[in-house]
Amino acid sequence: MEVTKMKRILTLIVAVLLLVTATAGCGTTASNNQSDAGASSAASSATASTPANTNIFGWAVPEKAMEITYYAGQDNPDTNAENCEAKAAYLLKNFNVKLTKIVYDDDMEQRLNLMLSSGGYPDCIVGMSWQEAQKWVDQGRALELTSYIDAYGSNIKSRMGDYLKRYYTDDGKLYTLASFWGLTTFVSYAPEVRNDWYTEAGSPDVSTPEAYYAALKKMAAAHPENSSGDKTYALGMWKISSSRLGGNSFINTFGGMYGLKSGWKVNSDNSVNLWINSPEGVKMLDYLNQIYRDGMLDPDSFTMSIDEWGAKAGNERYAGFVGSHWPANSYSLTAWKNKYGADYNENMRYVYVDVKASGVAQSAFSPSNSMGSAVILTNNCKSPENYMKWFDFENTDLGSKLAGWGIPNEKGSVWTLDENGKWAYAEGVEDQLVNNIGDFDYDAETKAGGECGMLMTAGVEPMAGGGNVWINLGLEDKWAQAKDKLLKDSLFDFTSFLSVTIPTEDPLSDKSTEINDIVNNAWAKAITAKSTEACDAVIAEAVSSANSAGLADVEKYYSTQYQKNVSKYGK
Amino acid sequence: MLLKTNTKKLPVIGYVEKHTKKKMWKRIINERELWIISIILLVWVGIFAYYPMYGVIIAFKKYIPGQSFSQAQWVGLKYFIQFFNSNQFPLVIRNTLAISGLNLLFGFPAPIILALLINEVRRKYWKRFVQTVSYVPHFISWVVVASLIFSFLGNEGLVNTILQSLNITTKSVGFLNEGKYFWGMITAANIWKEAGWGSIIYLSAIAGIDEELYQAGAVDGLGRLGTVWHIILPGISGTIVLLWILGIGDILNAGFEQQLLLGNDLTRDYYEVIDTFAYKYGVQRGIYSYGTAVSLMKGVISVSLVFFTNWFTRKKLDIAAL
Repeated sequence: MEVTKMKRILTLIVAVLLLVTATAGCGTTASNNQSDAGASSAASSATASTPANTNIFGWAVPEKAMEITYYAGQDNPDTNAENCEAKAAYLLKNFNVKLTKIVYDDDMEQRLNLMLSSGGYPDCIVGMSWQEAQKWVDQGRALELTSYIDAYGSNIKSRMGDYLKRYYTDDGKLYTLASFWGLTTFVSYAPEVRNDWYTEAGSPDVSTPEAYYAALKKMAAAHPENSSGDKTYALGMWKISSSRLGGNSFINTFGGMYGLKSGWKVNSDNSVNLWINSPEGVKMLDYLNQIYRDGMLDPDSFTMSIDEWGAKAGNERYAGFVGSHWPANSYSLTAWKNKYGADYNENMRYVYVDVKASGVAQSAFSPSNSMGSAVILTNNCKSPENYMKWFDFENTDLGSKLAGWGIPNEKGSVWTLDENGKWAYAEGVEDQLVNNIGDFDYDAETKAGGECGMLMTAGVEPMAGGGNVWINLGLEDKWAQAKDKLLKDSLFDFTSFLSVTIPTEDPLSDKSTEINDIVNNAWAKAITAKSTEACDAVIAEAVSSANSAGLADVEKYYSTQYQKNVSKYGK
Repeated sequence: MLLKTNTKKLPVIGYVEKHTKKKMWKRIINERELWIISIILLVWVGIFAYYPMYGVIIAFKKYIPGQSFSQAQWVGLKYFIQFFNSNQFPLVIRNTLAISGLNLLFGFPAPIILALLINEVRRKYWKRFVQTVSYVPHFISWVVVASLIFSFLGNEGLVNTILQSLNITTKSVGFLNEGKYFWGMITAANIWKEAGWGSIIYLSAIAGIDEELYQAGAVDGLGRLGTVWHIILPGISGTIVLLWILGIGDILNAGFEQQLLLGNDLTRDYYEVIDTFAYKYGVQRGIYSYGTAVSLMKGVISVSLVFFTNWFTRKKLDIAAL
C-alpha cells in the first residue's frame, strides 16, 4: 500500500510538473520572426525630450521622440537587427527619431495577406507591389495623403516634380508614394564575357548572338576544364521563377538580344505579345537549344540555386554570363583573387558586351520603371504628419545620403559631414570604388546603416548634390563606366508597361498564373529538347496550351492598359 | 417486489444517466494523473485543430484578406467548380494519384518487410543497431534530403560520376531534369526516409504475438518463412489493416515539401499535386478561398475513403479500426 501510495504521489508530481513546464512558455510577447531593430535598450532609455532645434542635416528635432515604424519586406531579422542597430541609435540621439524597421523571413505578399486578415500591421509599409498596394487602398487600409504632402512635403514635390502626378488617382486622391522611384541611369542587365579569356581569344566579334556564342565556345575550348578537372561551359543559369508574366531575368536579357522588352514583343501600335508567342521568342529558344545540344550550356541550369551557380562561377566554369549585372563578378572576383593571389590581374573579371540579332535596331536589356515600389501609410498610423516629415527629409540631399549611405563620421562610415553641413566621401572611399585600390568594405557600410531607414527614398536617379543613393553607383569604376557607356541605349523606360497589374480577384489573374506556368515549363523543355524540330514542337504546344488558357485575353488586357499608360505618361 | 415497483416508478434513463455520470467522475478522479498530463494536449488540439475549422466557410465565400468572414460574398461551389474546370485539374489529379499510389504500392509494404527482416535478426545488439539506423532518416528534414538527392543524382552527382566512370553511360542521366524519373525518385526517397520509422509499429505488433504460437508452429514443422506466413503476418494483420485504412485516407496526400524542393520547370508536369496547387493559388497568390476549397475537397474525399475502407474491411475481413 505504501509503495502504491508513493507511486501515485510521484506520478501526480510528474504530471503537474509536465503541465507547468508545458505552459511556461506562454504569455511572452516576443515574436520569433520579427526583428524590431531600433527598439534596443539603449534606444528605449534615451527618449528624453529635447528642445526643438535644427541639426546639421537640416532636420527640426522634435521635442518628443518621433516614432517611425515600417514593414520593409522579406529579409533575415537577425541580420536586419544587426545592420540597423547603429543607425537607430544615431537617429534617436541626433534626430529624436525612434526608427523601427520590421522584416520577416517570408514572402512579402504572403505576409501582407496575413496582415490584412489579422489586422496586425504597422503604420507604414514600403516596397509593396502596386497590385498589393491597390488591394490595401481598395479596402480603405491606406490613408489619403494629399493634405499631408501639401503641408509637409515641399521637398518631395520639388524632387519628384512631374513624377508625383503619376501617383494620384483619377479623382485627384493620393494614397501611395514610392521608394526607389525614378528612371535608372545605370545598365542593370547585359551579356558578359570573361575578359582575360576573351582577350586571349583575340577579342572576337560578339555583336550578334551567333558571334557571341562562337566567341564563348572558342574561349571554353581554350579552357575546357578548370584546375579541378571540371568541365567548362559557355554559359550557365540557375533555377529561377517569376510570378509576373513576362519572364525571368534570363528570358528578359536573352530576349533583349532579339529586341524583346522584359519578355514582351512591343508592336508599332503598342500592342504586346508574350515572348513565346512571337518569332523573336522562337529564335531565342532555338539559339539556346543549339547551345545546350552542343554541351555548352550547363545542364544544371534549371535545377541549381544561385549559390550553386555562384560556386561554379567562382570555380571558373563559365566563359560568359547573360543576366543581371552583379552576380557574375560578385561570386567570382573574391574567389579568383584568393585563388590567384599575386598572379591575379584586373582582367580576370566579367565585362559587358552589346549583343543584338540581325535586323534588330537596338538591344533592350535594362527596363526601367520610374514608378518604383509602393509606400503607404496604413489606417493604423496615428501620426501621418510625422511620417510625411520623414519622407520629406529623405528627399533632401543630406537626407538621401543618410538613408542610403548610413551614418557619417563614425568608424566604418563612407562619408563625412562637418558642422556646416558640408559633406565629403570618407578617406579612401573614392579610391576603393573608382580606382579599385583596396577593397571597399560593403559590410561596414551596411552596418553603418546603409539601406536601413530607406522609406520614401529619393529615386534611383543621381542626387542633386552628387552621388547616388547607392554609393557605388555614384562612384563607378572604369568597368561600370564602360558598361554604361557601351550599353546606354539598351536602357529603356518601360514604366507604362511595367506599371500594368492585374487585380488578384480578376479572372485574368488566374489565367495569367496558369500561362506563366506553361511558358516557364516550355522555356526549360524547349532549351533541353533533343533537336531544333523537337524544340519548335515544344514551343508550338506551349503556345497552343497558353492560348486555350486565355493568352489572347491576357495579351489584350496588357495591350489596352499599356496604350492607356503611354498616352498618360507620354511614352 | 418493492425494488421492481420502485424500478418502474423511477425514471430509468435519468437514473442510468446519473449513475453513469457518477461513475465517469469517479473514473476521472481515479485517473487524474493521466488527465493532468492530457489536458494541455486536449486544449492544444481544441484551439489549433478544432476551433479554426469554422474557417472552412471561406471555401464557399469570396473572401478577400482584410474582410471579415461575414462580410465576404457567398459564392457557393464556385471555387470547387473552378478547380474541376481548370486546365490543370487532370494533371494535378494524375500526379497526386500516381505519387500516392506508388507510395501505397511500394511504400506501404516496405516497413512491413523491414520489420519482418529485423525480427529475424538474432543478435540483440546488431538488431538494435540496424533498427536505430533505419529510422534515423525520419528525423532528417526534406531540405537536407533534397540537398543529398542533388548531390547524388545531379548531372555532376555521385551516381552519374559512377555510371560514366564504369562506361555504363557516356552522358549524364538527367535524373533531376527529366520528368520520367520524378515519381520513382520521390517514391524511393519517401521509402528511404519513412520505412524505418514505420517499421516500429509493426515490430511492436510482432512483439505482441503469443510465444506459444511459435512453439506450436515449430512443432508443426514450420520453417522461418512458414512462421512468417502462418503466424507473424496473421498476428499483425489487424495492425496492417488499420494502417492500410489510414493509408487509403491519405491517397490524396502526395506530399508538398518534396515537390517544392525537388521540382523545377522541367518536371512541373510530374510534380504539381493538389497541395502544391492549393499553396500556389491559396497562399502565394492570396486567393484563400480557392486554396481552402481545394484543400477542403481533398479532406472530405480522404475522410470518406477512410470510412468506406473501414466499412469494407469490417464487412469482408471482420476487422475495423473505427
